[in-house]
Amino acid sequence: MMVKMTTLIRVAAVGAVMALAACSSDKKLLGPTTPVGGDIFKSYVALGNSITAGFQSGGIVDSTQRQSYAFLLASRMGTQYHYASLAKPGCPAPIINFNTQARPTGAPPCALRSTSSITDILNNVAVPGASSYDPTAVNGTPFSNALTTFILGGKTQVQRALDANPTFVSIGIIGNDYLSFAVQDGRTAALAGITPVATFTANYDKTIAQLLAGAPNVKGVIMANVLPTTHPIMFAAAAMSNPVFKAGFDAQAGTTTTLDPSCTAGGAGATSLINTFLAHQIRVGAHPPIVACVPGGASGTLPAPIGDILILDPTEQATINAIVSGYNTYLQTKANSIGFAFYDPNTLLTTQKAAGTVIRSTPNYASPTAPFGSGMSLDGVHPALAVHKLIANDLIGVINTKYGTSLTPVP
Amino acid sequence: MTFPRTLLFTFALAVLGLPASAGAQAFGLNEIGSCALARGFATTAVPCDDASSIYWNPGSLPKTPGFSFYGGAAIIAINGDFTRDTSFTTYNSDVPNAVVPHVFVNYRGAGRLAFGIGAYVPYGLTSQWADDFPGRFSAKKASLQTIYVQPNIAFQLNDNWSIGGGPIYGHSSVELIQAIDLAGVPTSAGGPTFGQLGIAARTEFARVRLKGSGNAFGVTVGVHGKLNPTWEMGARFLSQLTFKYDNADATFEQRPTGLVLAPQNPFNLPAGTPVDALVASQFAAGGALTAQKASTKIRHPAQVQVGFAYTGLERTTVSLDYAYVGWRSFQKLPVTFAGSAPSKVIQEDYNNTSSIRFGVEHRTMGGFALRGGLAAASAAAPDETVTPLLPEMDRGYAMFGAGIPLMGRFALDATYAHIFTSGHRGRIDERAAGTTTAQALALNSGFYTLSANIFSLSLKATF
Repeated sequence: MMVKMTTLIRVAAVGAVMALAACSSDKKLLGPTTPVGGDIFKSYVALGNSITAGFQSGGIVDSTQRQSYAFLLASRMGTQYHYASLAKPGCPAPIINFNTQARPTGAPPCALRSTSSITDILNNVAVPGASSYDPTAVNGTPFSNALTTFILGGKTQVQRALDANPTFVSIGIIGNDYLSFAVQDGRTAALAGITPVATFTANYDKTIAQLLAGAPNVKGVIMANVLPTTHPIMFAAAAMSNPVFKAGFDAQAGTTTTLDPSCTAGGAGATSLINTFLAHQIRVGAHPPIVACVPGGASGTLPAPIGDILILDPTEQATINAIVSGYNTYLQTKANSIGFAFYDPNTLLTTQKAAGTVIRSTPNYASPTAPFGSGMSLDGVHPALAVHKLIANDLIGVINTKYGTSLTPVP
Repeated sequence: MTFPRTLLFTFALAVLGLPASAGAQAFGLNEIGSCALARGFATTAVPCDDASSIYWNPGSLPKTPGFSFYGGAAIIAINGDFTRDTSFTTYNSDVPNAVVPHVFVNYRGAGRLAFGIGAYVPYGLTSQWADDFPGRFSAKKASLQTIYVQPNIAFQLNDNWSIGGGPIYGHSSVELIQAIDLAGVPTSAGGPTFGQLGIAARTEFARVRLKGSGNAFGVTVGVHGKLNPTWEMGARFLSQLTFKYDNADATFEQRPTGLVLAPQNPFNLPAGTPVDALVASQFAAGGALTAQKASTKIRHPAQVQVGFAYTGLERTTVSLDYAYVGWRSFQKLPVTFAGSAPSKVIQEDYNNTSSIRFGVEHRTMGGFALRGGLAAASAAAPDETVTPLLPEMDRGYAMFGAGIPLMGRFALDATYAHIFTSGHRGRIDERAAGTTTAQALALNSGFYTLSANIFSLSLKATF
């Protein structure tokens, strides 16, 4: 019978430390590691929608998910971060050419979840497309899509968040209550689909109530909605009077478009906002080669939806901004009432859009890979890594101020 | 109560009792007699003066003259928990208190022979966790109840040396309850798994219960000697017994997931469809998860123990033992279903173990025995096999007890023992077939703690 000496030494050591074991344990040494950011970040969970999830260029894949501000924030917290990794080339694969809107050749509609990412604990439960209705909706909502199931697997965002026993949450349910109506459609009639402030408030109250019921001591930060007027995908109608810019627009449209007088100085729609993808719609024949900036154009005789779809005229802008401002006022009040931090990204976007590099004020139709600036993805709605970093660093500042933590910025 | 009644009662307790828990390395149990427990299990050289030596040193029985009976039980209360890295959540174990019985009878007449029989529980385990424990997919409950029945014969070679031994009949019952994870189940033959379509890992949609029993035979031998007037030594060997649970019953129960599908789900099913409906057919006649037979095999390892004792102090015995258990024999735990449920082999890769045992007994003038002991044991499970089935780790023991004489022919032994551990990292997920040690170690996702309080009571009678 061979007995290794190391075994005997180990047994002797067990005996020697036995008395100590009675009053101490290695739990602190070998148990879960406290994050470098502090106990408050032991279990961070990000709720939200596409921006939080890491959706970019009309698609989502592991590499874009790892660029989300939530991922970056978790890395500065030094805490664990499990997310529903979507296998290459994506679900769907992100667009790789702004001009052609092409996706990688042979990409399936969805390449499914990466097997290694199938966990019960998710630190990012955000689902692209989610609105204020969604975080607590057991049976889904009209905003639900395939990613709702791919990421949440039949549970709600709040349920999945509580599974992680969260100590800190970021809530970025932003945009979808109005975006598809106001920005991606823009017709006056479509604005009726925007979630009323009262409904948004009720929805959000329900989300917060469920979160706090399951995690009474959780801390966090609530993010404000982006105002349509600061949205990178929208550009000022006045840009169309610039011959160079219009040439680029026309090149994308595949034809020389007619600029209605409503868009020019003195026109009723001179301060309207135009969706960048109007050019793409013209190219594919979904919209006549006319750019008008109020419904019906200056003459009032252009057929619908010219001047209405993908256009936000001054009246519509005022309406939407009032609603979104209502959302944000509520969100700030709510954050204050529950002791959460509050972050409004509109200042950042306005500043960056004015600077024109990371976020361009007008799209560069000649660039197939960075038409909206170095910090925006090809869909013009979702940030790329550079803007995610800026958002993460803004959040770090807000969190440090609110909670006295010392998170360091993302380099 | 007359002697025969006592014997019958205690023997019945031994046969019908509920052996369980972790009182020694792995699923071994040392709580075989209150005296031996109080002396830190260091009882091969100078065994307790009772019939429990049938287990502790079957060669020493000629030391106990006349007709002797020894029976009782240990109550083991285990405290354990698991703290998970991902959520910092601590899950307490749900192990019921276990009663581990023992009973021995021995007779030595005027000759050199001693005859006896014992029933005891050298191996047993109950590991049980609550319904919310994330490791329930590895083991919600694991119960092993094994009793050895050992006729014994011992022979006095000369004034100083004796030998003995006997065959062993072992009967073992096993019960394993596991949750089944929907995430790993294919949605169709060759199709993606539910997990790839978003169903979270550890989504319990079924629970399997495997229950069976088996028998095995083995042998034990021992030797005892007096080296000089103040030193004695002893050694014992218990062979490995291999239990095959060939006709076990496997039953499956569907568990509600509570999940419903959202609109535009990748299953292409209407919004609101319950996920449970997708798997219901698995539990119907012809499905994979219907009642069927199953089999498994568990080796109960061999034991060797050698000890020395010093008796030169007045009315005091000091003893030190070394014990070795061949846990390397427990490499795999196969679970083979006769039906269409997927069979598997749980890789254990246990190592042989050593333990050091130290005990003291002092007899007062009035015949009272005061006992104390310390013991330390290395873990059988390697770092990559600390699991819900058995969160095994290095252990230390401290114990004390007393023997109280009663009415001349009787004595009552009572002992309290505590098991200490410093905790150990471990995993809650099963190791996939063919994975390396490094890959298995990477599955460690939390921290197990374990401690136990043991109270043992035994009655001794001599005639």
